[in-house]
Amino acid sequence: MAEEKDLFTTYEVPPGLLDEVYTDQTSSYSSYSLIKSLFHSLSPADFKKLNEYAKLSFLNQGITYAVYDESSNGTEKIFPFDLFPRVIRKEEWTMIEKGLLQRNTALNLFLKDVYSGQKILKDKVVPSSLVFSSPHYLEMMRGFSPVGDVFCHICGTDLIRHADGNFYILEDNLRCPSGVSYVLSNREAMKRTLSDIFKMMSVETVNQYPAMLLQMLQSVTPRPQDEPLCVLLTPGQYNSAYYEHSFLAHSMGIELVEGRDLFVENDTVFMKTIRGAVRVDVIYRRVDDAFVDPEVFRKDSMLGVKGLMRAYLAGNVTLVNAPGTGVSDDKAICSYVPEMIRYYLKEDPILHNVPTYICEKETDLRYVLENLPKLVVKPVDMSGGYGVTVCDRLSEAQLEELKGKIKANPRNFIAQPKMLLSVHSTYIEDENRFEPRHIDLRTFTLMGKNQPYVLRGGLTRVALKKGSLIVNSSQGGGSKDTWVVSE
Amino acid sequence: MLARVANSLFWTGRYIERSEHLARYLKVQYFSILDAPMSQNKDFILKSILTMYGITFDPAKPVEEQEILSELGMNAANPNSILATVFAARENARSVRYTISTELWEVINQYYLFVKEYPVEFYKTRGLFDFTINIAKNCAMVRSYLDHTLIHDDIWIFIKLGMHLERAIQIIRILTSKLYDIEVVTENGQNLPLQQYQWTITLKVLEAFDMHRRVNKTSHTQTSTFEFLISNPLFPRSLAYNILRINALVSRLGFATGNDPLVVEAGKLSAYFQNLPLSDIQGNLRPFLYESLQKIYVLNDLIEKEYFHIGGEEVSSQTQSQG
Repeated sequence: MAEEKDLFTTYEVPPGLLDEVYTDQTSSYSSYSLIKSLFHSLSPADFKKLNEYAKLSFLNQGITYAVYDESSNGTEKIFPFDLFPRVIRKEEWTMIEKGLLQRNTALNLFLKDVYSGQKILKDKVVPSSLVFSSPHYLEMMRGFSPVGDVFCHICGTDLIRHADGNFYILEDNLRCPSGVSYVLSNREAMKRTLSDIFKMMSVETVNQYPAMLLQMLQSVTPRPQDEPLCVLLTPGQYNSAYYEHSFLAHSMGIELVEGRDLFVENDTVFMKTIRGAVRVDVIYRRVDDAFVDPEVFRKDSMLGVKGLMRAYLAGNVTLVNAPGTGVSDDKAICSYVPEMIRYYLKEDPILHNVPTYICEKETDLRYVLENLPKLVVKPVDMSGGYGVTVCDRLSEAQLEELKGKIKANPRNFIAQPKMLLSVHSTYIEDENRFEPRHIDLRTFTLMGKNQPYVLRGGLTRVALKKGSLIVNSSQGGGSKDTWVVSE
Repeated sequence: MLARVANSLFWTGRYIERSEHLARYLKVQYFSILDAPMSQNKDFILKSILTMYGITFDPAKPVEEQEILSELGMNAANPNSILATVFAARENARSVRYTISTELWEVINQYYLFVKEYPVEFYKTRGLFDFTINIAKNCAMVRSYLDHTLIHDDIWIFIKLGMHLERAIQIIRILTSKLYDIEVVTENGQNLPLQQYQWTITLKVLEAFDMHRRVNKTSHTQTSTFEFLISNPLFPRSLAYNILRINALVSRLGFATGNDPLVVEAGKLSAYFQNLPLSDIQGNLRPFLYESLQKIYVLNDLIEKEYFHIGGEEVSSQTQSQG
């Protein structure tokens, strides 16, 4: 047999970056030794077969995005999945978990405060101008206390690992964070494809997430005396995250409703069943604030329920997450979370923010304009990686244009130093070998009236384009299974 | 259960069932042209298949075989093609996948992927048998997972109701269409061998040839063929069998009571088919089939009214007839 190329022969750790698998060209971190020896034992042809098998498993399960065009049936796309799992050591995870709980507790207290006494604003810890100018601030929520004073029941916090080895907070997602279904499906695909590694390593399970989510939803019912009826509200099957909505409803055993399945009577929400109207207590809505109730928000919304906010403010139904939580995932406000932690909890933050320059502040703005090529500029309220500009790749003319945009509307932008996201060995199909690619980590935290819960692991997102720092699926990203492992 | 969900389950059943009949009808009719006794008019049979599918065409123009085959099987833009029908089944199932078993969803999804990915060129030249027989196998898998991985409660009932209702409709469409074929291709009944050949095809379209022979050991006539497919209460692809099943399913839906119009109508129709006076059929086939179809449409409308249109709001209506 001719000399067969190894999947890793040409693997090179990029200088100046942290590779989570390889310390240098030849040796790797101990937590990866078992996985690495397995992958080394596979020929490129064998691995290719495994990879195809995993892809087919996703296709058959219908874990796809559909892209709809003029022809009546859509092109199905698989969310790219990488078979090389990302390992996080248990001790390290314990610290992350504590940090996430601390952070989300503070964010929740902040929301409660913003929509009641606004102490933190009066004490000038967070500038009130930032809060009131956020398009996600909802005056009608002022004075309303949701069940258990919980505003952000489900938080998707994004973390990155910097070249110094530490995890940093990139951003908080407190509106409708998505991606958890991929965590569960990735794990399933890994078990089906590479079952032997699981026998050798002790990996924390992710399976209980749907059960924990349901318990959390039930804990915030406005009618604790009765068995709570929870539903998941989806924009419908043409939404790109529909698979996740359907998956979660299925695994919790609750109804997946669309706006047209619900109606409001006497400030109470009902769903239309074959046996008539049935009262709804908790709505896990995957529809943005702006579309949730055409009576209050966008009048043209076909996705919402007329009168839903009336029912909500009357305390007859719980919305998860609460309307108006978007104010605290504004990227400018996010940079104040460490202050919130000190203010409300009298503790030091366990997880640090990526340093953030708020263009609204004059000193920060000056710094940003003078140091633009070193920075990454982001609009404050976009998600999905949209509008993110990595400035060292811009021409002089483009830099000037960006400066103009920032000066015209400084409130709309923040800037961060270019963080060198860690890289991870990732299978590149076109090359049929592994190469380092940048990754981040989306975590999922649940907070109800019951015990809070952090999903052990989360979604490791990987930028498949060489050198790219943007991991979002809408921008050519894929994902990896994330293993929290005790050694 | 949500009214919208019930509607989608019902239509999942209808489209799955419809796709199977479309494929089988195409297969049997198409292969019947290849070695027919004496020369049958190929052009005529291809047009007959188009009519059964509910696809309109210019009767004056000659038809091009490969073009018609791809229209019937693979044209996603034609709502009556096999591909569009399977896609509709799968989209309905996708909107309610959280209510059914993962296993059932996966076989429906795989069925769709099989049809969608089938190589068109091969299908148009030598793949027709393979394509249609695999559709039958996929449908058999769907049926098996439906019956063996779901609780037989309301969710299952709505899918089965859709299947039996659609099957009753397809049986009538097939019989009506074959009745017309027989009249034309047998020189108005003058040519006995050609007639017998057509009766055999009629039975084979519904995979009833062997069972018909078991019941009618010696004679094979037009009457025995149509009577068997209309009135045999124990053969799953007879009209009577499906009417009885519809009645049984309707009465099992929880709040069905004595004065529920759907239960009343289904009960009446079922009682009639249970003791079907054969004199009603004889010499009267065409009007009989037409009236039966209207009665089934009445049941369909009652199901929609009682279960799907809760709160007066229309749920998305789907294609009831094929033209």
